[in-house]
Amino acid sequence: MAADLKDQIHILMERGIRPVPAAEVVSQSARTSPFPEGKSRWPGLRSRRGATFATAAVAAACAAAVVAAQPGASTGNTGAGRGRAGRQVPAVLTAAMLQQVTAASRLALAQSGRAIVVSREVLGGTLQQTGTDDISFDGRNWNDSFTMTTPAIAGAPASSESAINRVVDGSAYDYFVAADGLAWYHEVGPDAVSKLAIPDPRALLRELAPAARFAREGTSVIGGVRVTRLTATNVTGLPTLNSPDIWPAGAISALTIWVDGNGVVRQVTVTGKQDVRVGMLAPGAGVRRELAQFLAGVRDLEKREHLAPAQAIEREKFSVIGRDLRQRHLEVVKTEADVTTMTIRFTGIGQPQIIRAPAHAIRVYGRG
Amino acid sequence: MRVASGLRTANGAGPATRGSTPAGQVSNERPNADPAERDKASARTEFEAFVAATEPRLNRALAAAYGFEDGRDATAEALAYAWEHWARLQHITNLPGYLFRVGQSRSRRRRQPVVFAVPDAPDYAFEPGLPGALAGLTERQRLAVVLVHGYGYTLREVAELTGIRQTTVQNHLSRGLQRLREQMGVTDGS
Repeated sequence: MAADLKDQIHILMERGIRPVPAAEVVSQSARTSPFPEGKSRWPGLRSRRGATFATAAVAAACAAAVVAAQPGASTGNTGAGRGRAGRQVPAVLTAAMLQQVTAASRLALAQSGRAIVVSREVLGGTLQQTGTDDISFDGRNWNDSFTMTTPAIAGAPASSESAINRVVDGSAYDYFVAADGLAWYHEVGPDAVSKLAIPDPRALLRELAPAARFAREGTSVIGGVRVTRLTATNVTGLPTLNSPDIWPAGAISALTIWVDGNGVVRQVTVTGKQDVRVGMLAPGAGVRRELAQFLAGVRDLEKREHLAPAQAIEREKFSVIGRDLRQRHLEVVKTEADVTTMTIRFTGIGQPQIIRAPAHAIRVYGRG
Repeated sequence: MRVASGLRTANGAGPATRGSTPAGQVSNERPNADPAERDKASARTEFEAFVAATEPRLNRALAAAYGFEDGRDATAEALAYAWEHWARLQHITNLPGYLFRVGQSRSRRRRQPVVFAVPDAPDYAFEPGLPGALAGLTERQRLAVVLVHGYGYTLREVAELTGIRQTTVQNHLSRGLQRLREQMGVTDGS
């Protein structure tokens, strides 16, 4: 390992940065000539570099190809239509097109690839946690480098936790702070691999259902590739997500996918919403004082519990006080919306991922 | 051992960016070609030379700010903007700095947590915790640390590229390095 921090930073950046060649810039740009700078036909879309023309053509061609491959599919609502005043009308994907997208994506990601997962949970309008996972997979080998950050909430300090989980040839490794400090650990328990619980980001692709009625809503560039953005217009048509390893329980409230010219999903953004009941302390110094006395009494009781069997009477007394407090002040339960948004970006699709066992790892048993 | 400094490439003396079309191919036109076509070919040649000189610097700065993936996309968007408005923009004095701000504004609408993910990093190259520690810095601290400390840019170069004052860059560098070292537990003499 490079000794100097500056060398390490340099190596990290050089490994991660992928150059943007001029040829790619010119080919991705809808306008191939730099000279005409006339007014955009759709000024609102100008920020997307006026690429709507090219993408609509590509998407329509893609759609036509898909429909041609599916004779039974309807052609009534494919392609980008035009409404009044020249505005683009979102085209809704048919079931056959979505099936093609799902199949192409699963095939492309069947063996190897990478996914960067960014998640964010907000409860009652307050940010609870953000997380990033950089997951690479190649056959049976997996690597998940993740960070979870919790902001300062309700007096608790902000915290951030990073770790790496890795599976190489059936062996489990993790890199985190433990008794031996920040180091690589080689987990050798019988279920060490399953305990790492590296999420499979491809699981989300199974949740794309035609009933969601995906509509084409513009284009952008992801990973240097021009992609079409498709948004679910009927989220009630989507099932409740059944991917517990990557997604908490909850109904989908928004789903957007970005698909490249080959029909492969490059990015998914999904938002889930569920109502949760949250217990709240009623405000007021009096209540806090009562609560503090109550808790002090409980602690004291716990200390003395082993001394006198007759404490059961006192325990009952505290129990009554506690019930009274809860009834009067503490059990202020309200329902709040728990909204989780997750973006999964697939990169290195189908490309071999080098996932090696760490050079040095401390062997541990059963920690998981 | 560090690889060749990007400054030489940034100044235009380095090799052409991978994938760019050699200038000779572009200018290989028929003698009676349309003047407009010749102008386009000439503009493309100029633009490719500009990209070869500027892209590494721009890409590094935007990657430092937003992570590898979003930084690359921001670079691509900024350069595409430059190509589309080349006739107007090519005369701007500090075009890399202008495009840095274009990249910033283009990435603002999809702002996500910064990710420095390297797919096949051997374990001996750098501390595994370095990407996370870098991501934990503020955007300006990262810019200063990566460009000045990692790539050897001068404070002035970073100031010109990012539009931040030199003294501010210096402050961000000091604080960023201190915070990074605290997180990494690194003590070196540099």
